[in-house]
Amino acid sequence: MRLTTKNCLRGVLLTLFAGLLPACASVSPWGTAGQFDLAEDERRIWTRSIEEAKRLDESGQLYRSSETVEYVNGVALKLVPQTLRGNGQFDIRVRIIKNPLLNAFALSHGAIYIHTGMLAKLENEAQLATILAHELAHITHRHPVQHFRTIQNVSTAMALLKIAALPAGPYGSLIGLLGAMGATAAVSGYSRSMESEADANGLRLTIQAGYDPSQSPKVFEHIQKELEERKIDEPFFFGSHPRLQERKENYAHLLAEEYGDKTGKKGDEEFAESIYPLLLDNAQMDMSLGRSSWAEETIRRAMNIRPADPSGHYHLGEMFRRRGQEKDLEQGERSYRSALECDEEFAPAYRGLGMIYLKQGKKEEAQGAFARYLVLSPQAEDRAYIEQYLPKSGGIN
Amino acid sequence: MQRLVWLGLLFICGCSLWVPVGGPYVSSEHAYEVDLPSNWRRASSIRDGLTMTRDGVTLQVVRIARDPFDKELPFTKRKLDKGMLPQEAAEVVIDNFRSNRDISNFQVSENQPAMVGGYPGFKISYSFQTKGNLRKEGVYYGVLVDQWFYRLFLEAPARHYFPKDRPALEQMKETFKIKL
Repeated sequence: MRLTTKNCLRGVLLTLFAGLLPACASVSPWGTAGQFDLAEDERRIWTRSIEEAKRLDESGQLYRSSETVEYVNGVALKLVPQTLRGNGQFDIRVRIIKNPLLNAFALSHGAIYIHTGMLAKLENEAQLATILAHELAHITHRHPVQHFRTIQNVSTAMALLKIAALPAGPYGSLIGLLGAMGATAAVSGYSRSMESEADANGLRLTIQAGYDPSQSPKVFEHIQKELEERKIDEPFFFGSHPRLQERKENYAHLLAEEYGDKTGKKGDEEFAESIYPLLLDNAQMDMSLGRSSWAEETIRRAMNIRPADPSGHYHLGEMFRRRGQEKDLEQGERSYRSALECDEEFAPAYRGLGMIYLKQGKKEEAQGAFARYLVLSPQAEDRAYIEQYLPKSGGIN
Repeated sequence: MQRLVWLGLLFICGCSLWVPVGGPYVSSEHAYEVDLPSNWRRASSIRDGLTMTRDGVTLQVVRIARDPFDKELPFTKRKLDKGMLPQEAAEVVIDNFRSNRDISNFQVSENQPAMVGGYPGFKISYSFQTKGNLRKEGVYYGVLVDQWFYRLFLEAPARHYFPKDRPALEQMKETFKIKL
């Protein structure tokens, strides 16, 4: 065949058309039609997703408190559609990432990730179900494969550029651990239509599981308001203003159009009890990000859940001691004392008191508090530091 | 040919960045003195402290440096403060490591008080994994003196290099004196 301009153009068009074919191929949601069968490219996506999940699992960044992890997985299992339960193909499992930024994402093979920061911002089980169901819908509707078929045809390079241009910095650079699968799901999300599909199907799953749908738009309203009030801009999908606005509008529209009369379970108490330890842990991470007002708010929320638990009061004392602003030492002292009112044998509160007394120049009170700390906690990891402050080792200068 | 000339020049420039050390070292700019081990080299182009290696920075690196205590740390937003106890300063340094998302599985195996340069400071022993899955260990001495935060640390791959190079860091720490 002669190589003419016309032939070249025809070749390019044929190549483009051939490239578009997989993208146009219909992708039925799992559990709606036919057998569970992965196409070659989808199999590759699953393989990569499993590799990325393995990397995250081994990164030391997963939150391991079994009480919270089991609870969150229990909620997720209630949302899994009947048609997909027990088919042995999916391992729908939620992992919690130690990260104070707002985010949740899913990988195609069934792994759902939610950040401690996101969990700490939710108010009840129905709101947790909203987020998990949205992510679950990305899995059941096979959005990863649809997305990657599109970007392979349009411009893989553009997608990679987007990923590479992410804001780095602490916690934001979690993305360094993720490959293309996780980065897309966690950061940019999918196309507007796929996200809307996840909203609609997620809400349907939430209602089917018996949750109050009126809580769904509230999640996004609440988060958006907090981000705006604090003028915070975060790198991930659920911390992005336009994406939150889309979710808020979509859920409000779906409620008004389709589910206005539906009610259901909110699950305030179960949720609060189950995420109590996570609230305190996430507050520490917020402190590392310099977000002490969020940390304080989260700790106070935890204290409302279990007012008689010394841990909340102690963490508030720690927050004041570490922040070190005007009057923080006095407030810290009060918080440690409140912890001891809850439990007079709560050792860490004595250490906190001792450190505050040291800074206030109250040497005798400091030594008394440190001595009590070591009596109550003889195996304390920081024993060597504390012994320096006691008289027999030369005391405090 | 031209490429070879460029490569040669690069090689010569690269070599001159690393200067052999050994014996007493006095930093009048940073107000300390320390005995440096022989067979190590320091980076002559790095001015904000002493950066040394024996076999190459990917295999071991020792840093001796000081900064104003209120200088922002690279990863955590928490800051060191002049009135901090050594234990509190150690907490901030550990928080800085934990906030570094370029490393994973960061673990502290030791956090103890230590005399550093003649002042009460702290010592942290730790390990972590790099992005390339290399397990590294480190030992970090720090101390707040006046408006300064002094630190000496060694980081090296956990296998072979860290145990081999740790005595050199300990030796440097023993001879390290702050001369304010």
